[in-house]
Amino acid sequence: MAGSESRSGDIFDVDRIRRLIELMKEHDLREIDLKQEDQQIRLCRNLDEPVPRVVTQIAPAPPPQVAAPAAAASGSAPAADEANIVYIKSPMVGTFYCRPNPKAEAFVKVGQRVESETTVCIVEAMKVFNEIPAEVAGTIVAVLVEDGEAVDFGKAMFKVDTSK
Amino acid sequence: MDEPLAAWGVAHVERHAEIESTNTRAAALAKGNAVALPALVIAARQTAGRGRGANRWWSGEGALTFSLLLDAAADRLPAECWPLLSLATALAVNDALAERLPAERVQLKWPNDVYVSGKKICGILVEAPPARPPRLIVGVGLNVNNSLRGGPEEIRARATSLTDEADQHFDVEEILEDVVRRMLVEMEAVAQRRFDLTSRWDARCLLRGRTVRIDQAPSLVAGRCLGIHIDGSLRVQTLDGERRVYAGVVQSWE
Repeated sequence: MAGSESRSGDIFDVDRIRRLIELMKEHDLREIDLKQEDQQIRLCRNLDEPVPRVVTQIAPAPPPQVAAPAAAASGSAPAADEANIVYIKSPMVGTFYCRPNPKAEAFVKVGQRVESETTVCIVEAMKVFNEIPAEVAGTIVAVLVEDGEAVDFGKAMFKVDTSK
Repeated sequence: MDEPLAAWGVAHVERHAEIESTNTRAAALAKGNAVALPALVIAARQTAGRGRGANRWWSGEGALTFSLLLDAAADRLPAECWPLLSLATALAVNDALAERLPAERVQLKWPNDVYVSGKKICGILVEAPPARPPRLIVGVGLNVNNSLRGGPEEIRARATSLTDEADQHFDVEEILEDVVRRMLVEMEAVAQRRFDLTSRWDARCLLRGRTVRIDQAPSLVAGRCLGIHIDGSLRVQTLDGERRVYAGVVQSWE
């Protein structure tokens, strides 16, 4: 089990980062994404650039699993200024894909109108590809997860304004 | 001819001599909402069988290829159960093969491939078309009498068939009935939340104890496989502690 005391392996340790960079070069990787409790590091390498750049740093204090946008958990009582806002949540644990395949356009974009049966994304877990319908009619006002990001059960993925 | 399948609860059976992909056909049936479920689509030959992503599943004459189309709500299988169902299907195939081959040679590669003597014998593709009420398609491709011995070296090194492993011809229909029956039994266990995954899986796990590399394009997870977690994810000991892997392809294990 991942112990809570595994601090000795601080992922921001310079030597560790150096090793990661070596690994990326060795295996010709474009990106490495590591998470440990509340820390996250993502190294991206532009293949034309010899040196990777760090794009993501420490996540906010609560672990990402519980750090869904505040309103995500409040399915029953939306805030007053969010009377028309509905969140499309993940029905299962898995990986979020915003497009049907890496070469295709995203299923939906911010500003786009969706109907109840519009497919908004795919969540994959254990090789099950679940095409998620909006199940609500309205306009997408925000996409809350990135392509390829891990999502938990109930994680808010899209913010929809049902008044537009 | 389909009486045994009906006895196990299959409500509709479709047989095709040749079809592009049984999963694609099942998706069309799901859309039309025209047949009683669970429905079974069986093909003697697939011309465009599909695997994960853009992968293709090659199935010549003698392979068993079918898709089971389920009414997820009627079968009490909400979306959070679907990943487990993916693994449960692999266990069903594993157990059917273990009756016909030395059991210790049959192993599972997370999340749902079945291997015999280190070579792939069965691929499973679970898809959820965006249908309401929700439908689930479980596609199975199992190499039975389609010997790969005459095939290219590259295929023979990675894949095998029942006939190649046992040196005998098998009754495909009998295997179909056995696999479908076992699948329905496992499905019922998943629906009733009494599916026993970890002990059964770990005993047959191809990856446990090995160093695995999992491609989660664009990132990669590498480490020692610790077996399966109760929720169906793969437990991997990485440099930074244990990680649970839910998606991606296990590229290599050694």
